[in-house]
Amino acid sequence: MTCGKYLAIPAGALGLLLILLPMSLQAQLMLSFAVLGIMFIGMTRPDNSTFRVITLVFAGIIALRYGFWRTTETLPDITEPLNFIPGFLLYLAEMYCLAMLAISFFMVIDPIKRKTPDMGSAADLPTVDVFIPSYNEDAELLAVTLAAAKSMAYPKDKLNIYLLDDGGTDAKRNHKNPHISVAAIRRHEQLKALCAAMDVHYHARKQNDHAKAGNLNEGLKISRGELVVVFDADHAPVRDFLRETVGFFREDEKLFLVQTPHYFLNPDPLEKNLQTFARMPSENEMFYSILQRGLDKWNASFFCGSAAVLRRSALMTTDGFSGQSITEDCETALSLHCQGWHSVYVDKPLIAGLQPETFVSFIGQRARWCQGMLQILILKRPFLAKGLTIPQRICYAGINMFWLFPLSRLAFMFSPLLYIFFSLEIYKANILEFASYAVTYLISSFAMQSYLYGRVRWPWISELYEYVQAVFLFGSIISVVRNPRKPTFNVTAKGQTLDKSKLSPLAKPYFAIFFLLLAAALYSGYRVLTEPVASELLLIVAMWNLINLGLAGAALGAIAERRELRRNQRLPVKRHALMHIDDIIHHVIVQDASSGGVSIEFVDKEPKLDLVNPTIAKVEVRRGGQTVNFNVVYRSRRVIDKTAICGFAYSERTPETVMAIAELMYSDQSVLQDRLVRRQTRKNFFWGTSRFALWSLTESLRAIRYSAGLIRETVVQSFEDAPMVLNDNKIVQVPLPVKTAEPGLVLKGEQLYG
Amino acid sequence: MAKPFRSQAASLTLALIMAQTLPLSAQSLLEAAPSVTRILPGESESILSTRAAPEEAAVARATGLVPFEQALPAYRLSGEDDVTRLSFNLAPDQVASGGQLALAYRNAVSVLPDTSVIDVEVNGKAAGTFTIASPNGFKTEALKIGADFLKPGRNQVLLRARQFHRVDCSLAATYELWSEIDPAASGFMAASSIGFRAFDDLLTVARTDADVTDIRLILPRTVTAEMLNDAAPVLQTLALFLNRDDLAVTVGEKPGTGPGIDLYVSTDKTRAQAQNVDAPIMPYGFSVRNAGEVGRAVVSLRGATRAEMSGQLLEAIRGPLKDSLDSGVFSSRSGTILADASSRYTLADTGYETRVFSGRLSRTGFNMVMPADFYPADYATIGLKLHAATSPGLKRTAQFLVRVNDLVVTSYPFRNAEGEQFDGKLIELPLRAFRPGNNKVELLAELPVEADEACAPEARDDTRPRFILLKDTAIEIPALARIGRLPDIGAFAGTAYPYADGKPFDIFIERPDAQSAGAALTMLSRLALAARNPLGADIHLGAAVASDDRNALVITTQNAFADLGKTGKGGFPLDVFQSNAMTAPITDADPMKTAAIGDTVFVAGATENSGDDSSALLDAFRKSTTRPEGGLSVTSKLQSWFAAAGARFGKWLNYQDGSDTVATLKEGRSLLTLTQAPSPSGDAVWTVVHAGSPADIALGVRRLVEPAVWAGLNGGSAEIETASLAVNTMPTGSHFVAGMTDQSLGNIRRLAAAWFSDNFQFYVLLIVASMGVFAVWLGLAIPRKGVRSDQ
Repeated sequence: MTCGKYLAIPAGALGLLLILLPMSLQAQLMLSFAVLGIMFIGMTRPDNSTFRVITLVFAGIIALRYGFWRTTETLPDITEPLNFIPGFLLYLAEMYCLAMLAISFFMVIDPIKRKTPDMGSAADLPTVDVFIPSYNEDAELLAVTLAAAKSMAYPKDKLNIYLLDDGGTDAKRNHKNPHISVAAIRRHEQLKALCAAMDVHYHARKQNDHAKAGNLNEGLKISRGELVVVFDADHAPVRDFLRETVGFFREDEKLFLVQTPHYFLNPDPLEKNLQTFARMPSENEMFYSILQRGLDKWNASFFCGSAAVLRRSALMTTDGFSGQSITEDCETALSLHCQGWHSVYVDKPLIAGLQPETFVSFIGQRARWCQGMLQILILKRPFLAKGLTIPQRICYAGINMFWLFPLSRLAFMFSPLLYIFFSLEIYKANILEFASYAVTYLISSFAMQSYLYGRVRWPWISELYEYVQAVFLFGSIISVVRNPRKPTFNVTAKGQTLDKSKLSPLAKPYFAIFFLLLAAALYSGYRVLTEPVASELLLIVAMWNLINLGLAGAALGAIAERRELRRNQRLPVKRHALMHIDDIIHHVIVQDASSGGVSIEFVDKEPKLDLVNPTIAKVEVRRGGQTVNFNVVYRSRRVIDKTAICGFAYSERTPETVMAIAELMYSDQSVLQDRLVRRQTRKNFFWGTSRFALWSLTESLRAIRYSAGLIRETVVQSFEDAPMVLNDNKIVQVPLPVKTAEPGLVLKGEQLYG
Repeated sequence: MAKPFRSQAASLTLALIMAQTLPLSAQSLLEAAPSVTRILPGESESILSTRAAPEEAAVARATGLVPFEQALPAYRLSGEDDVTRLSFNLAPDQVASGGQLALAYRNAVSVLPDTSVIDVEVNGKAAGTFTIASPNGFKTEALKIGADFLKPGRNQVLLRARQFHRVDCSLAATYELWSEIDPAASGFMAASSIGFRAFDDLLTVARTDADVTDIRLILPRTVTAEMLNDAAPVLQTLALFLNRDDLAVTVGEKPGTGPGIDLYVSTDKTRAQAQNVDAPIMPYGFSVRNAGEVGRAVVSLRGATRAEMSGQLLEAIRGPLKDSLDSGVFSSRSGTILADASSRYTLADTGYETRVFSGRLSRTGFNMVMPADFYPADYATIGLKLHAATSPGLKRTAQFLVRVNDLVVTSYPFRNAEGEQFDGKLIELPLRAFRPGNNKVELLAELPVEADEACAPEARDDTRPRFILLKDTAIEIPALARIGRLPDIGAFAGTAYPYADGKPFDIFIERPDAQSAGAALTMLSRLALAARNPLGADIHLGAAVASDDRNALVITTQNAFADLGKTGKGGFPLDVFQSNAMTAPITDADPMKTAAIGDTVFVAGATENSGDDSSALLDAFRKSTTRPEGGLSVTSKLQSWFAAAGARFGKWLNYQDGSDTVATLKEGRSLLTLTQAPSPSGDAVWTVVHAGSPADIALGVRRLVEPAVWAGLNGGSAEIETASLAVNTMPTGSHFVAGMTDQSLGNIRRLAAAWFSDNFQFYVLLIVASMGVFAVWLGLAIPRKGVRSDQ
């Protein structure tokens, strides 16, 4: 290999020099064909590292050629400012995309798949403190998370669980506003009682300084464990969480972090409104299944705020969790990487959590991520940070710069309008040049997207997510650039329900953009048909605008929110159990479970169940020779594929019930894994494009229908969940959800960290 | 622009000194040169055939008609608004008495009389206007020109024709509008004819009936190479002094007849060699005087030695010849840009004056002489910075087009129907469209308005302007890839490459007869004009002999040279020739169909040679058996569409856009061939002019140096067909490098880009191989970097 580099590096340099020669279009086109051909050959063996690198290098040649041509040939003359200024902005947007492409190639050049190391003997295991920071989440949700954490397979004497309640701090309880202080006092008492019943630690600090980071640091002060585990309030871990992660710390003394993916039980607003949750990989799977593994290669996988194990001694070197930005997780990881500590990413879903359900809370969450990442970019300048290796600098710069995507996305959305309406020539190219450079680059991009991410991302979905976020994140970027220290921590609202379908309160700009693009599409069509010398550029731009219109149409589907009545998210567990009804034991399969109840399939004959005077039953689940029992009450019956599925709600929710729920839902990691893998199937470009085109049409029509109030929905009666009952038979007073208007971007109500 | 020409004067002096020191050689002249009076067909024929009777011309000469200096193409005014610039020379006493400007013209039938006019300016002053109304033959308009309009020396005449169509308002119809001036019957009618008393009077010498300026070198029968070498510098100086593109040099024992110049050059030694010759005794020194015949001058240079003659010539260049040289060959030529790399020129440099245009098709053209060692490829573009404006009301089909060498290379639509102003709008012209040497560049603006549809001449508003092209419009030449590549007869004709670099070279006249010698000297004088310098030619009589790194021009009538050409490095396949754009039909040459390419209608009578007989038969069979378009199935239509698209793509891929009309030449059909090849020693370049007989070579060279033919030479070789005298050029098969002066990294990079563009298979292979090696190494190295994934 050492000798090889003396041949390979000059060869690469020669190739680079040749690529940058100002060649004829004919030569460029032939080169494109050849390079694309080799790229496609390289794609035939995706599991082979060498083939993968060859593919990336040759895709890089196409991108480099495009970038060089775009820079040297296509910019408008600077003496024509009306053309040059928007043209240059579009150019910057493209150059940003090319830079991100290069960084992403680097990141994913050889993703790591970690093998779980042996934990060692029980006596040698490190002590572990589990921190569950909370702000104002309800006790039921916290109870499940606490129960799941408590159920983790680990020696009891070495595992301590802390509920770090920022909703019941001294400052809150003594707030001058009596409404706030009374609510905080009540919450403080409730959660203290819950923790006592669950046998976990409750702690509320004095002040709410530095939001989540401050809360976690308070946790560090009151605990002594060698390792610290952080779970968001809605992130319930599986039983094997520590078994899969703690062993890494034994292998590497400089390891500060083992991060695991965030798996979600519920759809995000786009998945819900486009009805893709069951079939399409979630948006975050690309990050957790591909990018974090790629970052891990370069020792740059970073802390994502939850579902991670950290070494206390490492955190102490940076005075705990960093809190300068509103994304304390990434900032903390950056600080520790700068100190020379290592990180590991385990690509197994080991927790299950919730995503924001409404479009407003989704945008709120993304705005925080965007601003936090840009704060790090501006304030910490990761590319120049001391202590990082070059690959780490590239990776951190990449993950932070990614959040500038709203600027480029909006540039791509609006640029065609300048030509269609005003004939501004902001991109100088004829059809042959466009074919030789841009089209081959686009082919290469789509092919690479499919090659690298096809398993976890359908075609056009990235563009859709970027666009729906870009409309509001644009303002967030401007705000953080103007004053990087200004953004403050906003808690993401989760666990919300929608009684009926309606347009999101944020819908207006999406409609405005859609109709603007529609007008442009019509006008460009008119121009193509009526102009005697319709230029090649007009055809290109009209096509480009049509794609944008498709995006904007599909995005209307994302903001036309379908109702969400489900309070508790089900997890298909498919587990054998015994059901006792009137002293008769039935063999059943628990098809799915949630924190509200279970779905039961009777293996033998289905007993007679009464809905009017609901049948009460006891479910017995066994694992490792131990039994877990809980009582349920019959609520519903439905038939799926000729199989009757009966819905049972928990008749009461005691700490034991919650432990049973945790046992049912989170004892088996493979349940999460299977559900994840089932969705991860590749869809080819043409199928994806057709699917997307259909969305564009149907979803835009649906949104227009919503805007006209044409929504037909039947009223659905639902039963309240059983109240939470503690050991002393004290009922936890769960505050009734406040039914207010859809919250704005400053979020209130039921909210979670994360 | 004046400065370079001053420096050229210095190099001219050096070249003369060098020429005088060339080695001597001697050989017998086999026969005397007959006078060539044949009228040549071609572009000039349309004028000649309808020209006023010879008697008229004789009368004109007798009455002291001072002709215009320009050669034939300058006498045509075409389109709706065209300008031509002519000049004539006057002696001081002729100025004082004034005279008349005689313009014999005729026009196309389609030109609307009465409203179509020609405006005349003399030395920048309006001298009169006359309506264009002579469709049936030449008509002479005589404009009285007072002394206050005139000046001694060269006087400039500007003719602007504004022509309107009788019935047709389409863009294509503008190509039917033309007027042409008869050069033989036009000029300045001075009050008195003064004959030839001084060198400047030579500028008034008239053309022969063959429309050439005749220079006859008088030599004894026992001519030696030394005599020719004595005469060569004088001849070249005379050519540069006259600055005429239509020079024809003949060699003979006796003086010529008709208008022209007899040239006598001798030293004491050569006079001694020329015994028994009944030649007039010329005075010592460099002199000019009247010959016996009206309109014919005698120029003589006599010295004791060649060195003395050289001194006399130098003295003349610095003295009596200087002013006319400066205002002639060393001035910026009207309509020409001598382009150099990384330079900027404006339309004003071509003599263009800003004018408002009210017609449908604005046409402005100029000749751009690109450096001889310029490598045309796609590594850069020539920038045209357009300064212009359009008026409101243009249709949306209005556009600006640039044609280079008869191909539309770019178009820019005038989209704004409300009128637009362009302050340096950059329009890029591909370098590949240009070639070393002469390049014909045309700037066209198609400017239709709605009113053109109605086409009512009475409703037409000719005063309403549609377009203005400012003379500030600039042409920016980028850094060029520089390497001398031959064969390239475009560079040969345009810049005398590779003979113009000051190094001495040989001219071999293989068969030393008068016609061959005349052809050689005609070529030499034409090359001197192209180089704007006398060349260091060393004339040899006899078979060509290769000498180390000395270039040569070989004039041969031996068939052996054709064989040499066929087998030589340069290759000279006689069976495949490319039709020349000047004579071959060019209606199919341009894939871009716009009204602005319609001037091909003037190439009348030229026919495409469509390949060998069998392919022609096959083609005819296909055509006769093709079903009508409507009867084809969808599959057939698709197949033919894909076939056509594939063919177009193939042509594009091989850089054959519109210029691939291939003619086939059968052995023995060539009157003359011009080709270039490495010399037998391989270190130099031989340009071979070959014909079957001395008569053929005289006729062929005369045709070759016709201004329109010479300016259009390009490719690897040229031939003149015996029957039609059509000129065909053949693309270069493979080049050989003739020299590279710029070895900077920038030039090497541009050269690499140019060469790889032409040979992109190597480019693709090299990149794939080099990047493949790099990628494989990276693919093996990456798993070992960072967190190891190979364990």
